[in-house]
Amino acid sequence: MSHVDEDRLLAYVLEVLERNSDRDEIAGHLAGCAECRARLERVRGEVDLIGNVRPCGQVLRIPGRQVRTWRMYAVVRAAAMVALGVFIGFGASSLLHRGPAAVVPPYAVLSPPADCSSGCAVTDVTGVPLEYYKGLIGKQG
Amino acid sequence: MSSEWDCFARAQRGDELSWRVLVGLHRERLTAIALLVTGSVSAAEDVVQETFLRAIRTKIKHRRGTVNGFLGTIAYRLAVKEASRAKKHGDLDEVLPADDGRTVLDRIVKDERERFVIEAIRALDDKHREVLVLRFYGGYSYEEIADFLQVAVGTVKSRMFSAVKSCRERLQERGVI
Repeated sequence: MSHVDEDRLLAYVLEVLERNSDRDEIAGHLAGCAECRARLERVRGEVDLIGNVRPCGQVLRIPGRQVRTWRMYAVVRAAAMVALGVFIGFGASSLLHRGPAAVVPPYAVLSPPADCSSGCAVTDVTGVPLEYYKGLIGKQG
Repeated sequence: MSSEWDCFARAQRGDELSWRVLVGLHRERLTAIALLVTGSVSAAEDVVQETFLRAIRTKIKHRRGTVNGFLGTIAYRLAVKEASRAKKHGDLDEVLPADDGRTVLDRIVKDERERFVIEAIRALDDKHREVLVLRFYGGYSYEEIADFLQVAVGTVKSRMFSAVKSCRERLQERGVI
């Protein structure tokens, strides 16, 4: 048997050969071929590298103490947002005093006409002489 | 096998030493699973944390299999869920190198060769990556993976071969191996 090719060596290491007879054949060849054994060890080393990554994540906290995972944070955040919305929508409006809005009159304060001086009677709290109102009504009529 | 489940049970009862042993034994492997599936360092750390917490709160009715497999299954499922969520929301893949060549991986992976391996595995498509991760990092047999993924054993073996071959070629191109 000629040397075992690279793909078959890889399949042998991964134990994915379809037939047991293939495995036995390769094993038989390896027993008598130092070169293929050396290649086999190299392939094994490469496969070990691919299958043995060991990242060191952060140190975990002991359970039982206060632990918050990302899910719990998400729930708390969502609950806080809902509560805030409710407060703004309903709570705040009910807490505020709901008196009539102060409206600044858009009109100018009128002063009495020049021809209605001291002799005119002042009849209401606005201080505008009655004659002035009558004059206005008369003009409209 | 029973001693590791005993250790697990003591950790569940609040024994701090047992908890530290449990974390020390499994943290790196679970982080690898989560990192390779999600592609994100921060998501991987969250997944590992969540895995331990879920495991410690689970009522164990039987002790079939290993603690290793039990934790690996939880971590893998959580990582797949997180990866799917991240994909849907268009989260950036933190594993891919930034413009300056540095990645967040530097924080948790000290060996430069391991960083290249992670990038090579992340470069695989989902179908090939999941088989490689489950086999190497989950510790499952090909039959168990076939059952888990609902595909034929031959398909699993074929994907495994292609995945490892692809990673090797990528690492050879970069002069890592």
